[in-house]
Amino acid sequence: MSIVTGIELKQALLNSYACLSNEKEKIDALNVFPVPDGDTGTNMLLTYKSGIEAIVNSEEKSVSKLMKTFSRGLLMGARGNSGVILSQIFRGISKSFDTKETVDGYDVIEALVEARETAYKAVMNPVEGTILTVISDMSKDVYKYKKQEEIQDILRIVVESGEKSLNNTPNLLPVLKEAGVVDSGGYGLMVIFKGIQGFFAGEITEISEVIEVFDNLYISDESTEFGYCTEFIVELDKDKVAKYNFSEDMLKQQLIKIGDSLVVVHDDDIVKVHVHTLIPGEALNIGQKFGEFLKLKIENMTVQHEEIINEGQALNEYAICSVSPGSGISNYFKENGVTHIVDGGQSMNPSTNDFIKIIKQANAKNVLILPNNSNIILAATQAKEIIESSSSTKVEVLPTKSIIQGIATLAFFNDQAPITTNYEEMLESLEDVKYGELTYAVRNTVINDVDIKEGEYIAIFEKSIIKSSTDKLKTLFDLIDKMIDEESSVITLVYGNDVCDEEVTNVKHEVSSRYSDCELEVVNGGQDIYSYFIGVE
Amino acid sequence: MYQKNALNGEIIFENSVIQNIVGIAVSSCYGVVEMASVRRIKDRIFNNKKDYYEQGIVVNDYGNGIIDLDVHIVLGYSIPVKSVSSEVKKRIAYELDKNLSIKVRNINVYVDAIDKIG
Repeated sequence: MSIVTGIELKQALLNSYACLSNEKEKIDALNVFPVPDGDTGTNMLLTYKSGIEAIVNSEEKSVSKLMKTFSRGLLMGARGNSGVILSQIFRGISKSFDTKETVDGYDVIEALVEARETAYKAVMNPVEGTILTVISDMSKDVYKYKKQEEIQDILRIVVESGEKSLNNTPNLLPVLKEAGVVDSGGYGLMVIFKGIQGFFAGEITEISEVIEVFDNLYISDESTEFGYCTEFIVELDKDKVAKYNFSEDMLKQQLIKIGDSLVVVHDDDIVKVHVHTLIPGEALNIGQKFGEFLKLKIENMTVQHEEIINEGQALNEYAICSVSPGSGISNYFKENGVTHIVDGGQSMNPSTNDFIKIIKQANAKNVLILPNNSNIILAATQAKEIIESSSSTKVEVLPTKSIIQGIATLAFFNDQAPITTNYEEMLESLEDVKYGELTYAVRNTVINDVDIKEGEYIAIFEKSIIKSSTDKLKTLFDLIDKMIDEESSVITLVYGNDVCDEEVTNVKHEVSSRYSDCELEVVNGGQDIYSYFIGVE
Repeated sequence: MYQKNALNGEIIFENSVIQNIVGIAVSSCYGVVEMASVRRIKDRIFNNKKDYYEQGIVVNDYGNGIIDLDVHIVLGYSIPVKSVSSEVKKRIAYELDKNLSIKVRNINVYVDAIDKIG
């Protein structure tokens, strides 16, 4: 065959579509570059499908018109990197076929050269060893055979050259070599060209099985949304059923493309559908094709979800969010006016997002945040900025550097006062309390002339380490000694997970006899890492 | 400057490190014919096409390991904008995770212009 018309070209393209469809999963599996997410085959097939759909019912005899429609279809449906490149390759071919009613071998050579040109123009730094290299090598090799005019021969050369180029891709792109694969996009392109060549050589390929290409176009960008729970019952209309050839499977296949959690029940002349989708209108359109609705229900699940979160909470005047490293401390905070707890502390800093979530959950006009750790203050401040820029909620972050400061400052909170007054008073109160921590060392080091050995107990007074020793209680009392002065009146001890009841009794007894002038408050904090948080006011 | 907590001490990246990695990744993304510059007019005058492509990549550092990226690109005519933009985002996220173990919070892709590419 030396001359090809639109009719034959269409058949050839359909044949290549069947080939691509059969190899989709293999192409997916080859995908390691540029991002190894295994979607090249899916993207190429969806792109190609969009081109095929544009021409499948066409009786066009002119090659140029058919190619224009096909390439436009590809462009409209281009998905992913390889899909976009594929659409550009066919755009080049279509440009080259511009005025031709029929094409011969020589036209195909020219078209491939144009395809290469067009494909390369759309990228700043082309990466070799990809689909681009394959089309480039094909066009260069075939250009040598300028005199050859039989389309079959030209296509055979194209496929041979492409195979060679494809097998060379791992040498050009190290990522491919590491993974021991050829380029997935290049492989896909070869499948398409082989399909076209196969058609002219008389090898017709059938689609082996209908692979459900799950078109996640509507879902990928909106993965955080819940969409609409859509339910309807349709009374089937005999004429419409016959016209659209209704079957339960067919309805399912159409609906699964636009949603999930699909249930279809079919009983004589009634069909009931339940589907979660972002586009309920589309689901209804599909349903209405087969008859009239007996019942309809669409619920916005995103709203439902938010309602569940906000359930039982009217807009509150005040919310206090506090970071807490242990269950005991959380309980203590809650008893003292904290409304929301963010889990976290040293070595487990909550993120800005955690704060934003909790503030939204709090659903209050004014929110006070107690970070209770110097490393968390920044994240909380960031959350304040984001919340205040997007809503009318007023947020203040108190720079509490320790649990003790958090506990102490709560006493100055007044739920009748405006937030600015509260913030100022509480901020001032932070200076009145001295805080210390007792924990253990994880490695040997020397800090501030204190020699620290791994496993020893260390006493930290505000920001500096003042003592390190193997005797836990002695370290604790030395720390309290340092913290206390003549004006001190209250000692607060928050003990952690590793402190047993006996030790607590001992410490209580010892502290009240040593510092008889001071009031002692002991809290079971349940925190890790820190044996004691100590506060002196 | 982006800081990352390590076991002992910190790892600090200059923004230019992030810009370079993103620049190299984006400029090899199919469909991107040019990295736009936020100083586009000036760069156009001096024809700084490739050398200063970091100009088109803005790193917004919120501290505490949170960064947003603004990426300004020029696409070729007939290139599907949505597909390419989401590929660009995917590619950036992947390269930064692979090379620096950074998770970017938001990547905003700005298509500053469409160039005729023949």
